[in-house]
Amino acid sequence: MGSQGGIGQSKEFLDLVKSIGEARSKAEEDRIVLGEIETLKRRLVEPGIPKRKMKEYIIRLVYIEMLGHDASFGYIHAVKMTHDDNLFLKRTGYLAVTLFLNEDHDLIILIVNTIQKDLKSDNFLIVCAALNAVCKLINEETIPAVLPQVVELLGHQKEAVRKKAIMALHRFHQKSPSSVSHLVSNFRKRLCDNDPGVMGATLCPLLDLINRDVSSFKDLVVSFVSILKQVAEHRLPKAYDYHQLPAPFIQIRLLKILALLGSGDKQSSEQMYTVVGDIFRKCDSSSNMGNAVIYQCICCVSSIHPNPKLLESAADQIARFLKSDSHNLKYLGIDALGRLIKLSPEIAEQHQLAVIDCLEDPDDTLKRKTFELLHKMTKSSNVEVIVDRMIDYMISINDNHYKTEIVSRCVELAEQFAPSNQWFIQTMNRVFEHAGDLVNIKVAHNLMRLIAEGFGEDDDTAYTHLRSSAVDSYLRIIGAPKLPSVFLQVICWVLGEYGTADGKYSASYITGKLCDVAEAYSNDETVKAYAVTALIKIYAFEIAAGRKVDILPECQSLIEELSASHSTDLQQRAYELQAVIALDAQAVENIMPSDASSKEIEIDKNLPFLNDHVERAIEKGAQPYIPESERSGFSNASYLNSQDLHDIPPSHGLRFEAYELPKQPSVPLTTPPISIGSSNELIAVPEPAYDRGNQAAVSVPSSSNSGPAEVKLRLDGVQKKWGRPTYSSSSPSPSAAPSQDTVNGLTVSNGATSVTPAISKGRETTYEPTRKSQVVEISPEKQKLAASLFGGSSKQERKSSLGGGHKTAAKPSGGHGAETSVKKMAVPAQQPPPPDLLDLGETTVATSGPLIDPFKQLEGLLDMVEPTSSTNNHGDVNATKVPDVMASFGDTATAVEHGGNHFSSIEDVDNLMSGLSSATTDVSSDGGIATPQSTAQISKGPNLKDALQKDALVRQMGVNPSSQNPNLFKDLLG
Amino acid sequence: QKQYTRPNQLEEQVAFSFERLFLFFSEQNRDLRSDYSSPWTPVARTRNRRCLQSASIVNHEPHILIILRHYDLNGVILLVTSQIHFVCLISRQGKVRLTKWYSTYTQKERSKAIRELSGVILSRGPKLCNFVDWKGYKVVYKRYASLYFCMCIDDEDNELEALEVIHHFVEILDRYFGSVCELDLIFNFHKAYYILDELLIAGELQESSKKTVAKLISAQDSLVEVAKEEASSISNIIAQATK
Repeated sequence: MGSQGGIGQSKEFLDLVKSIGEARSKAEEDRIVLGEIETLKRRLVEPGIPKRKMKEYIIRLVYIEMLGHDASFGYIHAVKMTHDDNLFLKRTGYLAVTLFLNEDHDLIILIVNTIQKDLKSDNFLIVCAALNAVCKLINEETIPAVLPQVVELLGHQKEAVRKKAIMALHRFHQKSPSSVSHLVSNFRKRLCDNDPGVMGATLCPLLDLINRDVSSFKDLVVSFVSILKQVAEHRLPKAYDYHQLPAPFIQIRLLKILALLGSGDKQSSEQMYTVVGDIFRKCDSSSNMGNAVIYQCICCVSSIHPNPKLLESAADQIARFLKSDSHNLKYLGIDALGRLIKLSPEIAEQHQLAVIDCLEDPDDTLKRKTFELLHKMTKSSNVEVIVDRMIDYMISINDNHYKTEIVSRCVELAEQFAPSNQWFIQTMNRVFEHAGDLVNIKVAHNLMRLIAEGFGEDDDTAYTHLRSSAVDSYLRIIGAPKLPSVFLQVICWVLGEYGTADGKYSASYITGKLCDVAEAYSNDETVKAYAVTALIKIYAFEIAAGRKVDILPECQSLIEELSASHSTDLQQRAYELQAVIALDAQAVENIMPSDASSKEIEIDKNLPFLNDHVERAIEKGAQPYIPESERSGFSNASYLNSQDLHDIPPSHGLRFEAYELPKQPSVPLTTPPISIGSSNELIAVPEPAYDRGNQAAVSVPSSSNSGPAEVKLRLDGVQKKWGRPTYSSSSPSPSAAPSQDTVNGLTVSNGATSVTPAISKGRETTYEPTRKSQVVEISPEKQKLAASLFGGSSKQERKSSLGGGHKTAAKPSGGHGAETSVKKMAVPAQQPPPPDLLDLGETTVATSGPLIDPFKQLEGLLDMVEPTSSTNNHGDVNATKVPDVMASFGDTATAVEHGGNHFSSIEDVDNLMSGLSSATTDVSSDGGIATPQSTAQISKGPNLKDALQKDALVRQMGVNPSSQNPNLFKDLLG
Repeated sequence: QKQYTRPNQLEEQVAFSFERLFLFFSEQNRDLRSDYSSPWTPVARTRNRRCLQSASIVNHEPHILIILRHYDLNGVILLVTSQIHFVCLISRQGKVRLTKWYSTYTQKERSKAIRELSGVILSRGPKLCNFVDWKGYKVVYKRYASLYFCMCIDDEDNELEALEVIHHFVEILDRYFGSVCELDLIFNFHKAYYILDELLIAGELQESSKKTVAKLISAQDSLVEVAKEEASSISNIIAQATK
């Protein structure tokens, strides 16, 4: 079935496509499309359009819609076309409506009837087309209209229909689980369908169902395991093979299901171990698809009840991913590492260098994934490095969505693991400085609170030191242009509270700075309000201390400006400031006690100071107050309304019940001016809102009443972590620093012999030779980073990693004969730049020279490569222990150390390789390497001819390729 | 204490409480925090609404607490959706060649998504990985000659598998068109849609056998050919009659 180059379509349509193709700019394209829309609008209303013509119009509508324009004027014609008896037109109609309409579109109701009819059709193709539409268009309300028919179709003789019916039911389940909950048995039944396609499709809804409710499907574990076993053993028809792999898509889906079923269930998990292990072993690791299956296996292993053997092979595979040249595999490796790290934290240490490489990779996606991993393995010992890196990265990107995400991660890690308050404040400052607009305001409140209360530190000097260092840092930062609003609020607050507290800075200096802020950010009322309140505090402290206050001219002008402000809040503050300045020391001491920000303000909601007043009023004949809930005539409705207010405080401004109280003689409560409102209102105002108001007014988050869901620093946990250094789980972090030193010392002294060759050798196996020297240069730096990231773990972990080091040394000595030969074969295989297997579709056909498959080689190599690399990963550990290792394994140690020796062996091996190459090509041809690259090459000849023919044909049609698009005629797969 | 559930109100409350809910869970589970702090995209909102439909709601005065069944008590996310949200084909010049949306998007969101994605994807270097983050989702793309095939999947899903789904699709196209090139897709985009419909349905891979897909498509085509002949003969008759 060759390309028809547009045969069967009118010249007009082809011209449209052609002109769109040649449009140089988006604007030009839009102009063409708008013209086309006009044409179609005119044509569609013409009477008596022949059906074929109509079909073309519909396709043109689809085209317009695809280009992002609105074609809603023609939707109704597409709907009409679904009514047609002719399959040819019906199919087009269905295609168009599924592309045009969303499930909640009004026109759906016009299609339901047609769908019902078509589902009963004798022609299975019509049924298929209708089922396609069902999946996209049927919404919750219309499910009952088609449900019985779809269920009936589950038993249809054509497998294509059964499959689509299953998918339709799946869709129903997604939209409204209750509508199909009685049909679950049908899914189970279809699992045993004769047709593997139907079985494979059935796994989709089952995955969803199991996701929602694991427990009721435990009985299926055996079936899933046996299906997976059969699939893995090539029992399915050959048509399901994909690049020589047996039905990999089905395998992946089954593995997803097993992961869910085995999660936290030892008994079920045990049934899966064998089959998962088999797949690990058998799966062809040279193709993308094979790796996808292996990755899914790792996910499964990390989800089910842990099994040491499986974890080991998962770790091996992760090592292979990480060492791969392909970024895709590295990415998956990092992701898989993140999954496995929960079960065996020590695994990350083997891959420190790989992880750091990924962190410094230019590829953003990979970098982000690595940050995700780091986020998962943050401890109090490495939090500084990780958060530092995260902030650096955060500063460098523009994508606000991701920036927000990474900022929230930084804040969270900092709040959870901060080693000291000092560090926490500095970190927060950096975060606010660069992404203040993206931070939740609560984070700012937490920071202020930390500065005010200084968690867990009882001794006062540390306290004041913390504050004055905060003041210092803010005074440094305050001059920077364009600080985010939230950050300025924090700065103003801190300067107001503690700016003059330690006597280092004079009041006029601080007030000058505050006035500058208010002036520089004159558009931001919140900042101005914070600044004015800070001014009030500074002056109040000055007056209370008995010093003479002289108001700066800029402050004076600020007060004048704000007293005439449109914002009543700012006016109020300005007047308050003026009032405070005029007061004497005694009065100021009372209204603005020094350092009272962290004192809790107790509020008695009963307002007892009003009791006298109320009693007097009642004596004079006023009606006693009846609580709202007890009032007659207020049954459920008012109760509900008051509840509403509780739930949605700010948005509900309207209160309806007030008007229903005409006969109640209102108690004339002449409340004192400071009261917040009448007592009646106090009840209605929901508590959280009250809290918030409180916070805003006093600028201190009160710790008393905050709702349970509110985010705040976790004081209890943090206190333990920060306060007492002997906290058990936090490992002795200082171990990281000294070890770095020793590493550096040793790298210098042992020079090229011990550490560096080990690394360069490790590199050789994974990287192109050209990068070698470069890597050696930066390695000490990286090692340092590695040590700070991974080294801070507990003593025990260090020991285990040392054990690994021993093993590496032991292995070569044990299997000297057999294993070295493997090594000889494999090492040179890595030397030529590996063929770009993963990008096989790209234009890199030319580079496909060697048919040796690096993964295949690596697989055999795995035992060898893995330990050696772990040696250099633990360079620091080994370096300190080198004498020991050398003494006990002198023989092998020399082999590793002497670079010359190593290189000569490579020469040998080169010879060996040339002899072996024929053999390897044989192996690879029936191994995984007969992937599209080679097939593409084979089919190259005829393809070129085809393309030329097409070219000619298209030229006949009057469509020329635009010159800027020379690749247009290249085959996609070529 | 009275319990009340008025259906229309419930949704409102749910929307409000969702914020709190995420805060609540984020106390226990770090991964969710990021979910909360980022503004919800329409896609995320639909997804969340879907979660909510199967959520059991417990009314706790005064704070409503929703307990999603998808979260176990430790706050670990159990919900693993594996849906494809959309598929699009973009040429190297940023022109749209085919789009298919499996989740609900407005026309505006669609254009925006395409614009953003083509900006990101077209500028990526050749050796980088084939995945990009996009608003909390993963977009897997692959370049064939001058055409980029993109597929948006959930963050937790198997990216490599999605990459192979793309390749699978391309292989089927190749078989159908006979060494497919971009022009085939430009002029026969509706056929590409038909093929895609046989491969993916409702955002899931429905058929992994190339042969089965090819068989179905050719069955449809042969019927269409017959229909076409009939139609043309009829129109010929009409044309002759009206002469």
